[in-house]
Amino acid sequence: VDTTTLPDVEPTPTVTTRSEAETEAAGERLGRRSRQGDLLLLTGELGAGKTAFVRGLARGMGVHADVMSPTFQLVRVYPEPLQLAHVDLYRLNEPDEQADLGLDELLDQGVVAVEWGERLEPPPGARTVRVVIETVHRDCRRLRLAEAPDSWSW
Amino acid sequence: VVLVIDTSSARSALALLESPPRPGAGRAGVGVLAEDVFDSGREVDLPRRAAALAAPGRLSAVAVALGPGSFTGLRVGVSYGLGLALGLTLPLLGLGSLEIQASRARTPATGLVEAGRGRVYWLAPGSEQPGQGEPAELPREAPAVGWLRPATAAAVEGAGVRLLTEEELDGFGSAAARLVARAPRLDYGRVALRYMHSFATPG
Repeated sequence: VDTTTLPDVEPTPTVTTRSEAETEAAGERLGRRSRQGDLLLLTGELGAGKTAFVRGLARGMGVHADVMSPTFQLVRVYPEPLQLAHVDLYRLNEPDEQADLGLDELLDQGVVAVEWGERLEPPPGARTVRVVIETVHRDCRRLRLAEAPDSWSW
Repeated sequence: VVLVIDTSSARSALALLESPPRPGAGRAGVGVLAEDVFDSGREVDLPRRAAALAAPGRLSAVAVALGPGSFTGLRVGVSYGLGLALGLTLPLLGLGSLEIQASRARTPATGLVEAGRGRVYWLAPGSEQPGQGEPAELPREAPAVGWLRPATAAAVEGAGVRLLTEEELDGFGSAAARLVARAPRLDYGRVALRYMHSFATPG
């Protein structure tokens, strides 16, 4: 997906982080405002910090479990206190494999955060938040809310 | 006897049907030995509920609702039915969850199943192609029947589609009895859920 053509909130809110811990902290701030039905689509190259972002998101939601990359499971579910489903589409080969994730139901149950989220076309009506993580250099990242409800910001 | 399992929607059901069916099977209550309808939830104890209906040794076939419907629910019910059929070497039969609901009505009705996020799956009378979408997108020519969450049911009625009441409907077992006779027998290794989802892949 060319995220520049998506309906943006103007001006596009960005935040710059200088370490993985700061990327986590940015995720944590969004986690504190997340609620059932939020669909966070994360875009960023390998090593950009998507999993670190979700680790922070989980902390902001009050999840105490250790968040690990779900690359090999496709989905990891943290049921409490508000359910977080951490999805990784990196290894998804066939479009039909999405049917094996049950995303509609996961959104009914809580928050869904998707790594490689640009590989997904959310249905109309889903409350979608697109976060693009760009590498500025080394540990420095620019986080951009490419699509979000009006009230969302860093 | 045939054990029927449907865990596709907001309520789940088991039924025990006579086999082979006696003349008149399909009329309300005829050939239905027992049924159990309960709220779908995280801890649906299917083995205990099924054992309360019949000892496994009495079964001659297992019929499962293949969907469309709840992602998790279908996996729970179909896995259990498949395990029973495999373990007891019984025929496994496949039913449509929307067809089961529509068959509960005594006049043509649209079958509904909960689709998540307030949406529904539907099958209009005379149609073979199921739809999915918001309640507002439902065909309005016929009344509808389904086990929906209260909020979804309210949205369906708000869209101008009348939901048949339980008093106007036959039981789950009667509906299943009408369908089991012509239900296809499934290969144990090729049980495909009729799952529909609303996400797509770009490009």
